[in-house]
Amino acid sequence: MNIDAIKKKLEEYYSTVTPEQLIGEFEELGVELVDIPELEEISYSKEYSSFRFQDNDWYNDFLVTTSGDNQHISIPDCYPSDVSSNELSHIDQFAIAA
Amino acid sequence: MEEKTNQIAFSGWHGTDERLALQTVKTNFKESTGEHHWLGEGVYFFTVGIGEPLLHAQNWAILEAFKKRYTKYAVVYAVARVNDDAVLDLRQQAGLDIFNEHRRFVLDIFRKRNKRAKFSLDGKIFKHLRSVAGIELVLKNMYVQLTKEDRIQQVASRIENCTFLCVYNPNKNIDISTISIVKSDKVQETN
Repeated sequence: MNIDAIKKKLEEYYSTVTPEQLIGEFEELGVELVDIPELEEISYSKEYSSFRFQDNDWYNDFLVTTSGDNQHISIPDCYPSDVSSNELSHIDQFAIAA
Repeated sequence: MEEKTNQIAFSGWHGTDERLALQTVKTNFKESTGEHHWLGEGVYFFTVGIGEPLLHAQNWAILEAFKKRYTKYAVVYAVARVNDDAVLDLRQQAGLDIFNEHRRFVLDIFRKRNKRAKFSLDGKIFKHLRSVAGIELVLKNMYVQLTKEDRIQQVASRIENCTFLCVYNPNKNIDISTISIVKSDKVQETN
């Protein structure tokens, strides 16, 4: 494996590709992309929780308010991310993959 | 096959239906297509690494016979030759870094556009790496069920028991003159 040569090719690609171009390339490969609902507000219920927060409590169910709809999600629908909001500032940062 | 510089040769053993094996010797391998392949659409071989690749291929062919309903199996040997800059070795930290960085780059763009992939993305990441980085061959240690007992007990494990070679563009990268049947027999319940 010639790691330097592979990295060089990828760095050239990363420096020139636009987001729209990359998304188009994946759609051409047959990837089905769906919208992530825009996050407006999150609240949570302590009952039946199974997720540990930084305050050492456990929570499971979140009420997610998106543009026009409310839905309950559970922790497996969330994934770590660098996205945060005021509502989430006291817990590990994550985004909602509804 | 075209001449290449800095070529590396990899030996592989592929277990299959004997009738397909006889055809493969004459016409070369065809890529397996579909969404469910571990390392994307390509030709899959057991290779030198964990365990005995010929035995793995034999066991795989026997197990698949019950699902695909063939009565004679064969193990096909072949040599793949690719440039060193077309090899992604996921047995090494550097190879895993390449894959993870590329996946991160892609996912970040998806997220910034408020998008996510509806289904598993791994196979498509490999296909994209073929396109943008010229990857022609992937090596990876994996766990697969290789005995009847494994399947009866539905063993699922993250501890690897074999080494896989996935070769893309077989007509370009697999030397047809090296393809040979190294073992064939009736399917029997040996496990």
